[in-house]
Amino acid sequence: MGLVQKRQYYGLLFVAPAVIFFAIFFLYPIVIGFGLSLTDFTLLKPPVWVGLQNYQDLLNDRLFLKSLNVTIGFVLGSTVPVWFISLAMAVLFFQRFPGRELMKVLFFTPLLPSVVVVSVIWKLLLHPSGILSSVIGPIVGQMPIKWLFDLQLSPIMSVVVHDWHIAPFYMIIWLSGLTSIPPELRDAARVDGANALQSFLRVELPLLKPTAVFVAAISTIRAFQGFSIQFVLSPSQGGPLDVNTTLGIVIWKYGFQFFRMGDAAAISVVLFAFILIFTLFQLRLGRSDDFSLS
Amino acid sequence: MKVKVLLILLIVGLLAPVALAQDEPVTITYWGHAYLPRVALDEEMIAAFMEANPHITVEYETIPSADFFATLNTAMASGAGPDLFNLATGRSAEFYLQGILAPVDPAGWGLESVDDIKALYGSGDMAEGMLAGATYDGTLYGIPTEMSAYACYVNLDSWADAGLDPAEDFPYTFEGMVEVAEKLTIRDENGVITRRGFDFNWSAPVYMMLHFNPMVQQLGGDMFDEVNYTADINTPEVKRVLEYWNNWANEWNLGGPEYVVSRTGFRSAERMATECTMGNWAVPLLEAEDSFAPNYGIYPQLRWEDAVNPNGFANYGFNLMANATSSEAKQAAAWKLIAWLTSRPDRYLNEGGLFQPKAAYLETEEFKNNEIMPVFLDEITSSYFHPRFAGYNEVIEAIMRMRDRVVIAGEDIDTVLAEAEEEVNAILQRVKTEF
Amino acid sequence: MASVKPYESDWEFEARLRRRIRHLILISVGLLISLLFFFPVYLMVSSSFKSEGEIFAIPMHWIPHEFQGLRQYEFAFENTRLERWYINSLVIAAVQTIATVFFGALAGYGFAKFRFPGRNILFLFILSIMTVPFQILVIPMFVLVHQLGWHNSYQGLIMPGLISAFGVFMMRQFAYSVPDELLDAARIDGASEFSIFRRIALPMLKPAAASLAIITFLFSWNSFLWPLVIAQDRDLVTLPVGLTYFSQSLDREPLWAVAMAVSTMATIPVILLFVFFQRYFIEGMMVSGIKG
Repeated sequence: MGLVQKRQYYGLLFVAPAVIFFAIFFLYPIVIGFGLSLTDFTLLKPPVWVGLQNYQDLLNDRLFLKSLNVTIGFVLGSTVPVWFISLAMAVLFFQRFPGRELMKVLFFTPLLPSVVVVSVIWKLLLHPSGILSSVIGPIVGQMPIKWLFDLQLSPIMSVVVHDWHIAPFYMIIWLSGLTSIPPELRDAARVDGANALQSFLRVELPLLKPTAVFVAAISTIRAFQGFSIQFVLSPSQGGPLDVNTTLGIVIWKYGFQFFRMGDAAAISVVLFAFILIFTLFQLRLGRSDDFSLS
Repeated sequence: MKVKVLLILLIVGLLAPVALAQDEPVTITYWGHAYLPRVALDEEMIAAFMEANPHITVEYETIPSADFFATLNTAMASGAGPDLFNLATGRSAEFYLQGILAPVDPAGWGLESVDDIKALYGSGDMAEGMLAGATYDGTLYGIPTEMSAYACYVNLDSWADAGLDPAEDFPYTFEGMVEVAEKLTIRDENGVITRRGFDFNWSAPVYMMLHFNPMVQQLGGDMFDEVNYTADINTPEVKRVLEYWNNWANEWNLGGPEYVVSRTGFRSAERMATECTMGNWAVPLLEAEDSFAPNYGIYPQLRWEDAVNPNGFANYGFNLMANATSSEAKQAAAWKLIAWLTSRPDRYLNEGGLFQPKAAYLETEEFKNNEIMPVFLDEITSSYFHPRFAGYNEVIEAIMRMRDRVVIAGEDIDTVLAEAEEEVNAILQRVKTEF
Repeated sequence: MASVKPYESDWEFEARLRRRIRHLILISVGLLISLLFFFPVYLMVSSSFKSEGEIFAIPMHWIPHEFQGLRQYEFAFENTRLERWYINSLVIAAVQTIATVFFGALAGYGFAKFRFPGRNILFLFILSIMTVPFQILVIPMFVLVHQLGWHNSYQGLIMPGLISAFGVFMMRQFAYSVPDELLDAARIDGASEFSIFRRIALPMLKPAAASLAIITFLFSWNSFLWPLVIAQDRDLVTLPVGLTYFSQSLDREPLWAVAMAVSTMATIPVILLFVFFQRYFIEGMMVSGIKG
């Protein structure tokens, strides 16, 4: 073995702390999780082996099935609008006009408070005697507006709060995508007589495809994890009538409110399967992306 | 003379090792929920206790009420639980089933038997009723630090400006309350309620246990059987109560789940004229300096006109309990502290607003002359303890879901009741085997 | 049209007019939307100076009429353990940030600059961690931390977030840009591999480390689910969890003005980071998107 080759083994030393850490704090918990999902475990007594019973029960578990619906609804509802809002804002801020920088900072502010803070602020805004109710109520002729207590409105509000918080983040990503497009291409389209919209559709949009794949992927994965907003914003953590009970909320509730650790672990495994399928799908879609091993 | 001295020396010599063993320093942790008027007094009492028992160190922690049970349960699971804790009556069944509750140890009082302790709370039915929340299968596991039942607080000014005098017009019945509440309710030009006459406490699932089920019990039904772990929900009594709640929000438009929590409404400004889910513990909160509290009067709980049982809303409370997994020395110290903390019912009532139902105190002139306590004591003696069972959290959520499916989603009440019965029975069956 | 210069041609005038109209439209649309997005944040800060009664004044008071000064902040400090929450959040975020950056750089450098057996499979392992959301891990992690006897301790709060897979991934991408020639030159000088990392690679990774540090700090500062379930001891509560004591209370309306004061307090460090390290802040946010 040559000296150079021997040197390469130092790499193992460099990566060892991280790899060992993840073996303990990622791999091992995943194994425990699978194991727990095959037991009934109330925390106070040792786990009892039940085989696949927990999974079988999930098929008839109303709250779990409801939370699947809620989560899918939240994913669809929160991702698609935020793509367009953030893209529109990126296009806007890509233009030159006076006051742009100040507006960009103002637009950026929702990203600064944490999700919990954001949810508390909106809980106040959406209070039955709050500002939004008093401003919009008279317009739609209904007072007070039951923002958070209406079965249709309440999940929409979770989406609104989520999108309000996260739109500036995707705006920045779109903006960097736009900035990386060579200006010559745009100018060329203009010379061909295309107006602004045509040039955007024909030149910029196709070139933004990698950015779009990226935004779509991370926004979807983020939305799958919906927890904090629903936890803080909605009445009794996921209400009313469980319309804001996401998979994350169910895991927390089963695990730490009902102390059904086995069922909570089984739901985690199901969520894990979803994420896995989605990730494989996304890897196929964006094969040429950042995930290469070069 | 010499013999006497020798005898004394002998006794001292025999007792000394025992005394030494008892004085082994011990540290115990005590968790209570953050009801502020009690906390201050607890701290004072604990300081005095440590002075009187220098070998015992008490670490006192307060935890927000909403988190108390989950925090305690997870701590217990990891063996990091406190040695004694002040637990809501609804939450002890899981701990009982898992053997975490230690039976009351009369040595903490310097008494011989548990019956001697029970005697402190009256005789026969009286003691049984007062200690029911801490008793499982005939064994006593805790001592009440708070025994509560709800009565109705009325805002005298609101009633007056509606042209009503509670002394004459208080309805006493749910049927009568509809009309009175309508008179007390104020709506603005858009029809928005700015002041409710009366409303239920819709805020958290636990209140379904504390005032929904008692309304069913008044009519002769009962949703839960805590001994057999079964539920009886699809009944005419439950249907009648749920219809009343539904009408309250949707038909008569007198309130509902989307409004400010009823207690807050009553306490702050003028948003509730009558509030019936507060015990005597609310008095110090209403009289605190920074409170916006109204002039208030206290009236008996509402009941159905055709009630077949005498109860108002549910009896509930908090019990001081000791951790059976703590060492014996710690348990002994814990019971000593529990005896100490329940030795001054007068101070806890006057300063903390909490009723510790000790028989001797009930006989004092001071208690008899108390302006509000007779109303509450009447409620307590005529009402029943709420049911206690493992899976409490899950069941009360299911019951709230039942309510909301009818009141918020407008689903068919018969279908909902049938499904709720099935759901709750399934939960109870499961927890019965799991715990 | 006095302002129009006499020698301006029609064409120039038209172009200028069009540009003005364009600006006008852009400014009004931009202003409308950015104010809409800014408003809730403004409300948070302004409400923290209001009295409880003024919070629900209709129409809303843009500027507090009964200005409370720092009274609500004082109230929060006096009636809760706000300073303890603050210290806890800071300590946890600081430890996790330092560890994530250091171990991230170490491992990233290892993956980028050495070809050891199993490298690809190990890196794939790290990548796969990034796609797994924490919700999936919370139950088994909780059980694990209890097995280790770390419940109710800073270890329990800190350890699961000590190193992030994303940190390793990000530092690896940047470590590629460290020229091999420099490393080889140092090797010829007889420097040890670790001192090469410390003296040559680490300084060159500084900008990336700054971005990583900022987003790790934010991630830790904002984390909610783990502290919510793991800290039973009141001394270990972090800011986001403490804040929910105001918003989630069972039997009373939140003290909104105080809640807004605590919210503002919780946001101040982030605002400071944003103001002073805007570039790293934004860069960090952009690369962190991968983290999901």
